[in-house]
Amino acid sequence: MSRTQPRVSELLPLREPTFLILLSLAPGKKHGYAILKDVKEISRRKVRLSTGTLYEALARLLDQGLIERVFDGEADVDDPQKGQNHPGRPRKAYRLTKNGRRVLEAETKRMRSLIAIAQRRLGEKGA
Amino acid sequence: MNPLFFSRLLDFTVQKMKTVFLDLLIHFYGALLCLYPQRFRAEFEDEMRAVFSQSLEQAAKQGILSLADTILRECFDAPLTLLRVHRFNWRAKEKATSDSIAGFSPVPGFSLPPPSPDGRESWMQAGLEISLFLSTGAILILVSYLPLTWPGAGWQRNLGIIGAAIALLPVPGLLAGLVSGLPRWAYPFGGILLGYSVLVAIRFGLLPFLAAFLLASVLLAVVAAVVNSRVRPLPPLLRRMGQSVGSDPSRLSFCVYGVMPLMVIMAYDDAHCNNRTPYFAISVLLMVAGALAYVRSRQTVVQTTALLGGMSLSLWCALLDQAAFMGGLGPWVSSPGPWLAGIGWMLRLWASMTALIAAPFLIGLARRALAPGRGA
Repeated sequence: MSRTQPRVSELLPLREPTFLILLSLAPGKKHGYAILKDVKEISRRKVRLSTGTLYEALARLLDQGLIERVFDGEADVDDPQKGQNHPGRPRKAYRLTKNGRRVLEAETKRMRSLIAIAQRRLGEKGA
Repeated sequence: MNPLFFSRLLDFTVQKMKTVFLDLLIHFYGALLCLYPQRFRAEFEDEMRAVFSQSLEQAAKQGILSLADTILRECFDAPLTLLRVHRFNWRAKEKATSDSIAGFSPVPGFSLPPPSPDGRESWMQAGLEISLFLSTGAILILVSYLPLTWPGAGWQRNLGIIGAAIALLPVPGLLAGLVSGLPRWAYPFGGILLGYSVLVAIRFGLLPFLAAFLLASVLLAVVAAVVNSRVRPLPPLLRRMGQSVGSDPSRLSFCVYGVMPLMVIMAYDDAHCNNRTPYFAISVLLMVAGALAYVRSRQTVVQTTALLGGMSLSLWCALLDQAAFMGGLGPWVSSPGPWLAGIGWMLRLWASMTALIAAPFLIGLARRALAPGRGA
């Protein structure tokens, strides 16, 4: 897949699954199954990604340069069955790039300002 | 019978059936993955299968409802995900194609086979690449130096017949080259046909029409390639042709050099038949030697020098022949009129060929000098 570096503003607003995947990777690198579980947990079980949806999003994020792939057996921190599927093969994990972190921060800021507006208007209406 | 045994047997059977069922589902999912684009599969197939397997095992531990939920979610999401992945893959391909057309650069990993080997790698290939010069050179020398006692003697003095034969015989070669994606050996065939068309157009006063036709054809091809690449990737054959030119612009010089057999005939007029001096044979040999030096050279500057050298020496031989012939005819010092006209014509021919052969090399130099980031 071709690697491109679009500007942050071109990528906003993010779709909810994309935002949640980036958010899941904010603390550090994770492998695919750990991302699935984390997204479910972050969204309080509202968003449950299928494997296909997850990897379609990961492919797109890799292409946009928002995440990168690392080969690291220690990535499976949340997986009790670490390395069972392909013993001896380094497992692939994903982590945010600098640009990915910038996009995540920009999206959070955008959502925060929206929430502020919403709160202000709801407050005005309630007053 | 011990009820505990039955209980254990039942547990074992259920466990076994569950394992078999999960294995079947994983195999089914593996088959479903075949519907994804090949490049996507190469990158993610193993991971997707592993993650699906882990999700299933985790869901199975939580009960039948959780398992059903996982399976149904995968099934319902699959068509939409497939569509999105194919669209993504298609756009990536389209972008790669338009980039390759814009820069005429080969696209790594874009299903193009590597460029065909050329004469730098093998003598066999070198022989193929200079086959046009070898065959036309052989024809010219045979026609010139064998006694005129063949049936229908005299036809070989007819420049029109010889020129047409030399120019039209390469048509099958050019067609074969186009079908093969324009390898290096095909360029001289294109050059000699183009040169013959130009000569015929000059002869019949059609040069402006030919120039307009060629210019319009090239513009139309470029516009069609750019517009088409936005809709769908170009056919591999056209991409191979773009790759062929883009990978080595000196091939355009080699294409121009393909006109050399016609140039040699023109330079000698019909002297090769009625004034058999060794100059003509030397010119032909120099033409072949220039082509051979080109196909065996590795650096662009050496390649261009080889072509310029072959062409210049070949035409200068013709110049010497003409000077010797004119000198033998009369006192050219006291009446240099026709002699000077002949020399002037030869020099103009030489200058035109020099400019055309050197142009791709000079354009390449200028592009490199103007490229951003140079010297940084």
